Amino acid sequence: MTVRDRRARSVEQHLLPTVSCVVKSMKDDHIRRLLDRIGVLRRPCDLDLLLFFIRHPRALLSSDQIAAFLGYEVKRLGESLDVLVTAELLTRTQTATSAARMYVFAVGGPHGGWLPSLVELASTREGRLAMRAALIDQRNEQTLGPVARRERD
Amino acid sequence: MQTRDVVKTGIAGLDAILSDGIPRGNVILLEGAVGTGKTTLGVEFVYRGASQFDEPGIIVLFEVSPDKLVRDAANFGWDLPDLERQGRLRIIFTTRQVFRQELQQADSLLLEEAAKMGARRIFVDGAAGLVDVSPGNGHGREPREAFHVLVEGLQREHLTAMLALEASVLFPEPSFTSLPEESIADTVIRLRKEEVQRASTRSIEIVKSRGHDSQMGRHSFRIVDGHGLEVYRRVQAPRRESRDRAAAFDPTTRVTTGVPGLDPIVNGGYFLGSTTVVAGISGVGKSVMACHFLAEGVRLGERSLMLSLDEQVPQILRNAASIGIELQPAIDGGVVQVVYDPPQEIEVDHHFHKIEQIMEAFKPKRVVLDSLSTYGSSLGTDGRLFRDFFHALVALMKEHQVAAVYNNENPELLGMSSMMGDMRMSSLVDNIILMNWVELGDTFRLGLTVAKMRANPCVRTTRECEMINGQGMRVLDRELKLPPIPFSRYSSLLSRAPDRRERANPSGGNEEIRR
Repeated sequence: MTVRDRRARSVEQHLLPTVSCVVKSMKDDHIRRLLDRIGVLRRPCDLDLLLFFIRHPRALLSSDQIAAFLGYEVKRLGESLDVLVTAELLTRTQTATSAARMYVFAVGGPHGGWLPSLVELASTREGRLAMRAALIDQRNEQTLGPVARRERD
Repeated sequence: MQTRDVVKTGIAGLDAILSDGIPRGNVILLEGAVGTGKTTLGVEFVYRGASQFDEPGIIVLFEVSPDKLVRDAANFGWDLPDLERQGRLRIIFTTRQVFRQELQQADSLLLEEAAKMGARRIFVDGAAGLVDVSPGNGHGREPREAFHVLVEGLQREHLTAMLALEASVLFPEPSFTSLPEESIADTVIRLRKEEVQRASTRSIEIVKSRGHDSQMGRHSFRIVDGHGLEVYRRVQAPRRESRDRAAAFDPTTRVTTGVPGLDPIVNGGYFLGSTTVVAGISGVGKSVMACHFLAEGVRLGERSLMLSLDEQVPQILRNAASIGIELQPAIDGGVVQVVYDPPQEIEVDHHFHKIEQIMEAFKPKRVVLDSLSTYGSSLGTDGRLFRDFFHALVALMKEHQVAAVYNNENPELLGMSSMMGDMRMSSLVDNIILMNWVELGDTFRLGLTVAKMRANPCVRTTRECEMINGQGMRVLDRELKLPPIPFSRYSSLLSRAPDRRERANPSGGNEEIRR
């Protein structure tokens, strides 16, 4: 191995972990910025539900059925449905006699710009898990008191 | 007479076999195994309605994710999101349980949505589980009755409904025992994927058609990228009446052959609308004659078409150029078309459809098909398929009043025991020209015999032909100056042993017969 090769390997060994950390940090920043732009997502269930309605923009289902599709408790799912409806990302129509409701994802709604980024990021398992992790972090941060946050920092 | 209110599917070729469309409000059952194309057909039915006939529609999905459906539709050039934005299409994802309940409720969200958008068509993908036909699973009703309830719900909104049913799951081919859905549905369309040798072909059959006529039997179809479904009528299915009426040829107009020396022995040329077969073993010059025929068309400004299964276009052009016939300028000028279709795994309905389209668009006066024997080996000459195909082809050419020449490779090197080999189609043919090697001394020489000329005087003498380097073929005079000894001095040229005829000897006696 020449001196030049040895030097190159040494640079690689020292720099690569740093590069990897920088990339991860950039990605985390991107996810945080994206979640800020979406604004309404607080829990992983909110995210999974939003992604479900992106794939099924017009669904005639009961909340039990959606909960079964996504693997959440009906109560938690109901809260997430309310979140999306309140944020006007989703409209919900119901009748007196049926448990099923017509959910329509507001394709032309107030989510200008972030939808393609969200779809792209969520298109991989890694991206979706990173978003879920970011939502959990965000939620932990909000539940920590100012003292605990100072101690942590 | 009251005009029929029909829903056109808009699917290429399908309305033709459905006698223009399906009566409005019919419930259409679309049966078939996995991968036969049910979803594509159903989605196209709704897409064409919304985009071409101002008939908004709904697609109901149970398992397929709508985003995948949108993605797959985009491959056919169908912009479903755009139709949704225009309010002409709704893709609704639901479950069978909800769908079943919805159709039975007076305040159904689904039917309300349909009414709001003015939907006229609905496609339900995966209707197999809507009514569980296993005993005791009719939700308190017999399966037949349960399906009837669903149909009533759809008809309340005057929707023309298409329901895709995976029939093979319940009733594998070939039994296809009658399903309860079949007796209630107004129209039943069955899709199949059939194995032919190692290839697969798709077919569509109108099994039941309440309130409308349809062309029976299995028609072929393909799913074509960038377009969608293309249905090709069974080659045997009857065409328009004008085709049958055009069975006779025009007995006044002749089309010259372009082969020097041949026209005088075919009374000046082939009649328009006639069918001519040129038969002979490989290498006798059938394709050369075809090139002459095309070149003659170019010379006279008559559109000429060559359909080849044997040689690809560049090869045909090169062969023509080698005998001094440049076809490329004529192709560029729109006077000649040369079309090659590979004979392997030929789908006869699709192939015939293609020829019909070319004939319609190009309107040639002369057509050469090279060759009949390749059709025979591709389709098989034993069954009816080849015969039916040839019948249809002859009728098509007569309808367009073209002089059609079919090359046919006869396997016999010397002599000929049959004019059409194992094809047994000579009754359909107006003119037959036999080309044959004749072995004289140590040389193969080429003989040509006009064996049949319908409605024409026919002199069945065998004439010698020769190939002239760079110039093609010519038929020689019957009497030739010696040498060489002309054919007219021989007898039994087509049997494998030509005999010199006896000739009067000035010194008395007869000249020796030489073999």
